[in-house]
Amino acid sequence: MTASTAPSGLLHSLWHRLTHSPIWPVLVLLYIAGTTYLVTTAPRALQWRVLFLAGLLFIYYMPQRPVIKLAYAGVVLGILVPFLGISNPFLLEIGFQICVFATLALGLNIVVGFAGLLDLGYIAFYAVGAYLWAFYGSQQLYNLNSVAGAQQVRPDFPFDANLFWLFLFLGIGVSAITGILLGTPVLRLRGDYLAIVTLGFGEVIRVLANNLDKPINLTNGPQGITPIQRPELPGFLTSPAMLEWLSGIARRNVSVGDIYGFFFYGLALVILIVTIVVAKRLEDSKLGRAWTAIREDETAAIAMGIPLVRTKLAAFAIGASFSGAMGVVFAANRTFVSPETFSLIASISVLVMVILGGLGSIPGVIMGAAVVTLLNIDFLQTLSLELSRLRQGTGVIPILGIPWSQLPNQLDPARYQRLVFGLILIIMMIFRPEGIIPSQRRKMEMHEHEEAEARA
Amino acid sequence: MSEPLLQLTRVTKRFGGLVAVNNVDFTLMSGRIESIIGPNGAGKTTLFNIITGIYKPDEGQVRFNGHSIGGRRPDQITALGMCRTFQNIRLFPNMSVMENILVGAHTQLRASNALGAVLRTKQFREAEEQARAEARRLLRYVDLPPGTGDLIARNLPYGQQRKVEIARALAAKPRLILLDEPTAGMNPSETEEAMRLFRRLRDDVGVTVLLIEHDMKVVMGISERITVIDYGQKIAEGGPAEVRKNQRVIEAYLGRQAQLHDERAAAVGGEA
Repeated sequence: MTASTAPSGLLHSLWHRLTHSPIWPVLVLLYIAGTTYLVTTAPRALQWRVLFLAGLLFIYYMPQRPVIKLAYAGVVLGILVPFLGISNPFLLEIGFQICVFATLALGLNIVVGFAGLLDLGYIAFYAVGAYLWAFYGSQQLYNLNSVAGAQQVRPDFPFDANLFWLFLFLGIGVSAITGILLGTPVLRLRGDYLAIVTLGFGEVIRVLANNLDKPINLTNGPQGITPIQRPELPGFLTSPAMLEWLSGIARRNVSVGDIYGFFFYGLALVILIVTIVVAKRLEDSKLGRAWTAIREDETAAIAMGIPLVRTKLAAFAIGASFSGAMGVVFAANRTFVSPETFSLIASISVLVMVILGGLGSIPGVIMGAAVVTLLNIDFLQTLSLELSRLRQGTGVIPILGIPWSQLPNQLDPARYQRLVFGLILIIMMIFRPEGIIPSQRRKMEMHEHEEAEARA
Repeated sequence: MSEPLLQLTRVTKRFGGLVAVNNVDFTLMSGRIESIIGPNGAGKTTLFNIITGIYKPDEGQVRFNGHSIGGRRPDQITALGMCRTFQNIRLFPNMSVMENILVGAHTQLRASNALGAVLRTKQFREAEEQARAEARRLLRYVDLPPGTGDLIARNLPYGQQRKVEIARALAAKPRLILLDEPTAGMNPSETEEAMRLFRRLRDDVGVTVLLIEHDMKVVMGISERITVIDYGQKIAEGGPAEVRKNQRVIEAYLGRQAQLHDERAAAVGGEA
């Protein structure tokens, strides 16, 4: 950890000594083993789950060679999470969603963090990917002329389920093209104006999805498209012997649906890793430098021979392509796609992940996605469950003296998602505007004024 | 006589009612060091902005290196072999000095495309390494201390930032370099050094140098020819000795200064 996070010099030097000693990797290993054990003892307990995932942070901050860190992370993500997932499928769902949103956030980070173009309609590209597979991977092609909601479920699909793999790549291409189409007319605008127009375009895509059930039923309107096919898994994974074996380990009935849980977690993880590599390599290339240059000083960038529109479009297209691929995966995972998923608030959620984690910082953005996703689907939900358990009991709220059962439903924490985000964002902007794991460059930009004052 | 490197024919630029550049003809031959001077607000920087394509002239045309630059974007004009520095330094403040220069080499890094970057092809790595080596060479060439490349541009002292800006422009391998008040804010010894650098640019790199300058010592000391602009119009042209004696030039400068002097006296009088 850096000096700024340690409260005092003594603590910091102790911390430094500890993390640089040869026993530190062993301690991290023990920590991981311990938290893994705790998760197995109480699969539902939120605190163990969070401590377990926090192990990844320790690995990230471990002052070791990248190979060792990667090996550690590989063990946690590739072996421990699936292993724990056998008895605790929710962990796989969390892992899947974090991977999905981290990929989206990395894509948006290219547009907002690298190139400095504020895009408030980013979720539209995710929608394009999702609807692409939803359309071709479902029975929607049979229903072009039927009114939404009136069609019958048929036993057959127009396309083979395994075309999913092809559409994964088509999703990349189609959303990249959408990015270029949307970007071309608006990229002459800067700053706030660009943000407003992209916001509009994001809504246009959602409204199209909502209304394109007439005159030809392409999207099935607000009802959404379902069922959507999933790719076939290799036979041995879904064989009765395999299911029985896994059921034995998990001490519960493991179904084919659970196997898909492993599959989608693994697939999303692979896509996330590819995305990280691509984003990192692009950042450190001619294109990445051109993005930063445009963000820092557009006029000077042009004078250096950087084609403004083409470079900005590249950011739009590449950013869009990541979420397009994830959109295809999302459609198959949920087997259901509807316009609601792609609301403005979803765009803003992804933006919150980017800003919270650290604009322009790849590890930061992943961290942001993890924090926001965990808050969304784990923290607040668990709190809500806990509260409803109390409400059903006969206990009394301490101090207030009111029975839990009379607690109004409106106080359900899951309803306060946005409020909690708002508070977190405000607190972050006051105390750490550069994000949880800031990029070096952004950190300097944020503290420019303080430095200038200090110098004066 | 061969074709001039840069040729402006009757260039006019208006901003609303103000004629910033009025019917200016200007010719620059390859391999020379020349200056454009004029009082504040005379239209010198506007002229630079027209040459580099940031502004489109309302009338007249600009030819560079055998191409008309009309209808070309600024980045395309840079790719033709022209690069510039700015009056108030415009480095990319939060990028390292090395990155700044690599951005300058943007037009030269053709082999480094996005796909190559993602796959880290041999071609990409070689192009990048070559560009870095060239950047290090440029840093030495403009006399920046070793290790400057890793520093953040913003943290450099003023004089060094000017040098980085020149190195960044040189990274584009230009035939013509436009320097907008390159010695502004420099102390006399830094100015001396800068003048030597400009001469070296021409002598050993073969770059044609066009300066906008206020410091008369620099202008008179280095320019082979001087073009004087006042109120957007060219009022004189010639060698340093010639221009120094030109009556209109003296009037433009002295007149303005005398006026300023009066104003200042009046202001001081008013306060007293």
